[in-house]
Amino acid sequence: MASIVLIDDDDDMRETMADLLAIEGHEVRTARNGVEGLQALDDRLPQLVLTDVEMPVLDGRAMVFRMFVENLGRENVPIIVTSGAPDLGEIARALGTPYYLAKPFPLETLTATIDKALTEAIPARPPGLLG
Amino acid sequence: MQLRRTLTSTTVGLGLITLTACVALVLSTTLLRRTVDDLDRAHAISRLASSLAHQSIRFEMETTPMGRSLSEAQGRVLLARAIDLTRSPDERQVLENLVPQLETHWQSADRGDARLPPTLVSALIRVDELFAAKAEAQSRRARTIDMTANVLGVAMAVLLAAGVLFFLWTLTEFVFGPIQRLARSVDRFAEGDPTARAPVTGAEEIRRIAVAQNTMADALAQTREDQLRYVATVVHDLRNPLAAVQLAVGYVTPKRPLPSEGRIREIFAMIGRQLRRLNSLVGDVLNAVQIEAGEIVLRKTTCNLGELADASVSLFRSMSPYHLFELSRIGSTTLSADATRIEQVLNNLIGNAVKYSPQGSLVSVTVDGEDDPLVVTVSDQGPGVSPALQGQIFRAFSRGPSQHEEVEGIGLGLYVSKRILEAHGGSIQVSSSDGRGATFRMTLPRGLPGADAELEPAAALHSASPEQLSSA
Repeated sequence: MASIVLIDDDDDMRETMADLLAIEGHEVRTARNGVEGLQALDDRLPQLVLTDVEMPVLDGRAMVFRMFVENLGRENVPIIVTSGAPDLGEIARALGTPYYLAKPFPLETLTATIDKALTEAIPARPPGLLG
Repeated sequence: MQLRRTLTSTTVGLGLITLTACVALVLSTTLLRRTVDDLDRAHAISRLASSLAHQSIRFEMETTPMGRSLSEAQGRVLLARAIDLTRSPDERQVLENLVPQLETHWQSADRGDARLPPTLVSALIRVDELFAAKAEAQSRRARTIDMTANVLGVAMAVLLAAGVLFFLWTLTEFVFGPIQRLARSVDRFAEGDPTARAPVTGAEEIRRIAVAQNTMADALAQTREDQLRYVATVVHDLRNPLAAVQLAVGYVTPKRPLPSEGRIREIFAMIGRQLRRLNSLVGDVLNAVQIEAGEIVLRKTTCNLGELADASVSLFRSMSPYHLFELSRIGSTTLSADATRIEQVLNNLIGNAVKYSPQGSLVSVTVDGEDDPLVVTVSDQGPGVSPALQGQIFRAFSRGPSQHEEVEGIGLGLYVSKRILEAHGGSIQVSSSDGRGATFRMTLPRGLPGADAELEPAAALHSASPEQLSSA
């Protein structure tokens, strides 16, 4: 159905999500941190990025900012951020993306949010970087 | 300004003014009384001299010997009273100079020639004038003293009033005002405004109270912030394993066939892992809360620190086969301690070393029982702990989500470890230079009553050569 890059540092979470999304028919590539995520984007641009926020090496925020500022076409890929942080809504607003998933979430919410993001395809526009 | 110094100096100042005023009052009244006395005396002598002149004239006019004797007696009384009233030798001399002339005058009657000599009259008139002038001078002096006393009195009153006003102003400006502002800020803080801070004004003592209040408010605000961040971290860390389990529920839906048996086994293994992780996190929180509440109870037994370290190293070696482990034991490592708690500390330190260092790197543990206290060091080859973080890592709730890094857990391990070691009378420090790994050094007092290290041959065996354990 769609090409998705999935970034999460928790092995079980990442693998379970990737497996379920593959069962749903998506083409999923996975990464463990922001740096690996950007490499996956370099290889081939997906239709959607699904990323955790708190990650080692390069966290979700920094990765989204870099997707935006490096201006290589990645800035037009819609992004769903996921996290167990209580202020995920704030984080998503700061990143300028309308799509976020507060952990824990059931599969139906995950697929519904992915469908919505794929249909609307609103890219992230970090307000801090737009001046 | 210091409240004590100001109050003391103002009180001393006002006291001095009052004292000066009192002394001046006493002095001026004394001086005035003396002057008035002198004035009265001068007046009296002047009047007596005048009476003496009149008496001398009447003496001359007396025709009978009896009348002359009476008049002479009156004259002598007048003269005696006048001489009696004098104070200075000069005054006395002036009056005594009259005596020969008066005597001559009185005796002249016996000779039948009672004529008043003009020199005596003029001498009496001069005495009268002299003492009248003295009286006038004393009167002027009395007026001057009165005037001076009035001026001084008004000046003292003004000074005293100014002093009192200054005192009241000082109290308002440096004491009552600042205390009221301090009280208002304390009230606001007590009513739940965390930003309420006392203005640091007024006397030094009150400024110190304000600074103390502000420091306490800052500390409370910091604690509140730490706790909120801690709760956010706990929530975040608990939601991660929950998320994996909840997502796994999606494998079994009415729409899709069940996964293969192999896959189901994998999924349940994953669920088991995540539940264990959840349980361990909940245990961490409970542990920290108990320790924070001061409910740490030690069940001390005689145990061997070297063996505990050995067990912990073995555990992590099996869990993380890609790390190299090295354990050295020197001297007797028996001690009296809560073995479960110490094991928890060792697992935490060695677990941290494993978590924070790259695969293939060395985790080195030494247990030194040569002295009392015993020393355990755990060194890794990870990124190290920055100097800024070294002071924070042993604090509870200090790790925020931004410091999450590649590590599981709630960030309470080191805090809990420190409290456990402190409860044993031991300590823990970290030394590290950025990029060169970290070394945690913990000490534990042996705590064995009367027992000495050398008395235990079983433990001494280990001191022969450092035991080396390494993986693969």
